[in-house]
Amino acid sequence: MKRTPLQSAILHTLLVLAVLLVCAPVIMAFIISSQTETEVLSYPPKLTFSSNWGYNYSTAWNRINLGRMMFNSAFIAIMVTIGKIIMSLLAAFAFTHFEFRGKQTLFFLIIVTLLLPVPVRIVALFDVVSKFGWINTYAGLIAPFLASATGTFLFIQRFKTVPTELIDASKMDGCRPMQYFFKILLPLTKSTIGALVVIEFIYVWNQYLWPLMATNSDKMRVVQIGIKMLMNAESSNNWGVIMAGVIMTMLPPLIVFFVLQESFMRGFALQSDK
Amino acid sequence: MNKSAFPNKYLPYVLLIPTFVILVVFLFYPAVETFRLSFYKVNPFSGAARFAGLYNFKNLFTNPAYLKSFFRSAVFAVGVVLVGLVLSLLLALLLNQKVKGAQVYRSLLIWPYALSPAIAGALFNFMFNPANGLMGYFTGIRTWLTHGNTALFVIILAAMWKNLGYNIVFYLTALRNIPTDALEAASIDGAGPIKRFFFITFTFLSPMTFFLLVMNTIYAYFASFGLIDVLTEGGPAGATNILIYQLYRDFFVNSRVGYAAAESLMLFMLVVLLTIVQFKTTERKVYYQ
Amino acid sequence: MKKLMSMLLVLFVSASFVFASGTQEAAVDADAPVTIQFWHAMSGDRIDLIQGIVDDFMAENPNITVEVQYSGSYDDTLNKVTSAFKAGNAPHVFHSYEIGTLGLIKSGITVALDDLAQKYDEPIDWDAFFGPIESYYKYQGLHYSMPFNTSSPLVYYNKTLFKKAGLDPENPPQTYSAIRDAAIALKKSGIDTPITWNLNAWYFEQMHYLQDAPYVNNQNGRGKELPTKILINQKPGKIALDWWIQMYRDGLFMDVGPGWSNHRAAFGAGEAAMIMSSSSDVNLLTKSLSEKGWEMGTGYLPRPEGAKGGVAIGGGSLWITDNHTPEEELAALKLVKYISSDKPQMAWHKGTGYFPVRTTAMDKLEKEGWFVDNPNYRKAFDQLLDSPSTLNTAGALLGVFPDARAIIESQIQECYAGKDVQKALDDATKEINALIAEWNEVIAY
Repeated sequence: MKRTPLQSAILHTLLVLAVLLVCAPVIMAFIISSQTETEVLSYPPKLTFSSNWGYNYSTAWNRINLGRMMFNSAFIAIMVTIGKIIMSLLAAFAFTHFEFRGKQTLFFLIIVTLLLPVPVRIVALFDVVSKFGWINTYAGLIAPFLASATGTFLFIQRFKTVPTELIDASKMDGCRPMQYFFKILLPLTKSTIGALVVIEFIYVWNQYLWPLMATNSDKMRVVQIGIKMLMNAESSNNWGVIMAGVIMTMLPPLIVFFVLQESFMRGFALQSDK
Repeated sequence: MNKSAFPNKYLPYVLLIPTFVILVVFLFYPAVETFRLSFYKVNPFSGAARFAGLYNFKNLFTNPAYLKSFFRSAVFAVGVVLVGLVLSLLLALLLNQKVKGAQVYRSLLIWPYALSPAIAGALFNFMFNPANGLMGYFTGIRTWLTHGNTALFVIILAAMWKNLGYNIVFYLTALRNIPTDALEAASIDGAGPIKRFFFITFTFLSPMTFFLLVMNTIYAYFASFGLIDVLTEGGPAGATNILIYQLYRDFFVNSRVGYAAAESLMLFMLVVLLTIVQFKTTERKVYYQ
Repeated sequence: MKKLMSMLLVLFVSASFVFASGTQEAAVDADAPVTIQFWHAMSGDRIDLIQGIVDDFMAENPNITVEVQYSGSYDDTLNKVTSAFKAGNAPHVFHSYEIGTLGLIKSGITVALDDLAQKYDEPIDWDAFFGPIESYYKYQGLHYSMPFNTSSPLVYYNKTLFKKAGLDPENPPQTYSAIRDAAIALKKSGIDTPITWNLNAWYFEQMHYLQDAPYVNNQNGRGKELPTKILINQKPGKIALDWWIQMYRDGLFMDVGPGWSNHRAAFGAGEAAMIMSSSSDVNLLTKSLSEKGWEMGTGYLPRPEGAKGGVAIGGGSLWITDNHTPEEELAALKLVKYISSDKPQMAWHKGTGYFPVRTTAMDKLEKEGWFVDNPNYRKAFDQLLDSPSTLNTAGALLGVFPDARAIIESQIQECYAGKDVQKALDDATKEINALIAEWNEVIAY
């Protein structure tokens, strides 16, 4: 369908407008992160770059030990992502390639977990983790999140699109299930794994309530808590410093997102991506 | 028996053990324990509990603050879900056009999904702050966050903004899977673009729409805690206390363990109900095979 | 027979010596190395300030190691401590807000400070503390926790704008009607909504204490029986809230919402010429006004004509948890005593604006000339010293304080929107009394 130059122009304008509106808050954060405290408080608001980068970024980094927090968030995110992918792969394999008693029930139970987010069970969860002695440890931040309904679903969808002839052929060849899993199935799931890496990394990096309850010391805190801590500094909010913290905190998941974008898109194409 | 299934009897269970160990220990047990506590009155310090039957539930339903929170959450959910889906669909339609640089536009519209609710809260807190907020200057209204209704509007806006990317991705995928012959047949029949949209595109999108309805509803009821804690802390004077935030306050600030547990149970049941309703109305359409 | 009797007598007497000395002081090795944990709720720059104080303590007590942590907000800290206690590893010393006092006394997880002081023969000189501070944390004759960060509310006003409105800048209004008149004069001189304070129930509580009225029953929550009723819908509450809301309805009072930054910003921008805020804001507000070339003044909190009460303090205190070894308990006791001593308290005051807890510290500050350089602080101290000591001005104790505050604030918000003041107070009273009844029941489980 041919498009007139006018139609093209309109389309581009709308898209640019949409992008500006969507990106506005972060552009603003970036600008503010360069201003001094008095510039931030000026009214009418000052919307131009200033040069207070050094002070703002180094204060945000040092005031809450951001480096350590980023390490913690990254470590936990990576461990959870790896764990979840492994467990979801195994679970999805069980559901798609086997028949067994209780299959429907177990599948239903996995669906139910979508409706049991952290806030609904947090008090008892805190007691359980406390009893294990895992409060303020990496174990306490990782273990509760190792199983995933989302991951299981995604892999189930992916596995279902694999032609059944492959299975029959390998059965005829005397292939045992786990051999089939590793040699044939796994290589086909690369983009789904990529999508899951993006989703899980972002999810864990962005967690707030559980780390708030489950950590006490600077050594174990995660970046999202850092943002609240920056905002809670008793003296009047120095938004320049806060925005510097915000910008630094949002970078890693954004990087993961942009790098693995294609995987993310393809992994979500619930049809196959042969 | 599915003929392409493997014959092993025990292997599937073994494969599921790791997942279910985690689920039972960290999800099901705490959830059941929380729900159990809703039938008790609990000493917040010692944990000592006495059975109280429906006492907490009676308090819930006769508490005007709870009913207000219920209504507020519904408003919040409708705002985030409906307005969010409509906007995302429009943006997805825009992005689906063959335009130079579509990839770039796409990335630039989706990325807020990678932000945390806490960060979204911080950004919007700054923008709508009465003291030096930008929105105060641009709109002449400085009291966005100090008045209940406008504060509610701001959290809806922030939550919706953050989730746009997620919805756009799914809609784009669905749009690409619409068989082009259906659209061509319709245009040959003389249907204009608007008719084509409503009769063909929208129908093919309905499974995805219903899926997103469920996911966004869950997001609106459950995932927005961090955003609210950073943006308004439930204020002003409780005006943005949606169910999940009130639940947090009752557990962690007011230490009313039994009552808060009852709130948990109610919230869980509410979302289950919404999900069932959504699935039931689309049961035929959700399957892809 | 006589021999047996004398032997028994000797046995009895020596045995009683052993037992007697055993109850007089706990056998504890005061110099053995010991490590304790201290969790506090002060964020930002204060983390470093506290670490500095603790470092000085450790220098003076080389056998004691203190592990300090900022454990989050007051609520987060309290929840974490409670759970940690159940798991057997609570911090030895933790920080709580003042409104958690009754709960912590009844909780079973803390030890009373005075009991420890007696057990280890480490007396605390409560006479040297400011009256209102010492009486807040005293319950049934015992002090349970060590006051740490203390503030009281204060009136701040813009002397320059006062002059412009024809008001005497050296004599701030002290009564409800005087405040109203001043606000009207300021409005005439061009300030739209001249007076404000943030929507916080703390001020409403103080309005009771300034009328020497109890906030809750059973001796303001300090009696032998737990409080069972909140008394805010009686005359004192009505007088106070009527005054507050009437100023709002007459366009004299600005609604700035509940947070702590908006009213300060309004004051700094000259949009309000009188505010109520915490005494710890003195430096901050003096600076914001001087940036615009204005002069700041401070005044006592206003009261209805003829009222004879005083202000109660707010802030937080340090508690010691139960179930620790004697060595740890003694170390914890020494830590909190040190933190309340003059040198750290003076540094704390200078760094944060909170009151030092002893009058001796205030005297030292005066000798240093501190109040010459910082005259606006003097008013806050004077207000504290001028407050009479009654069970009412000691401040109320209540288990459900956080919830009660939220309920009251939401009713006041409805009054802004037009609700009748008495009805709002009655509704809040009903709701809060039900919560109190439930709390009283569960705390006894």
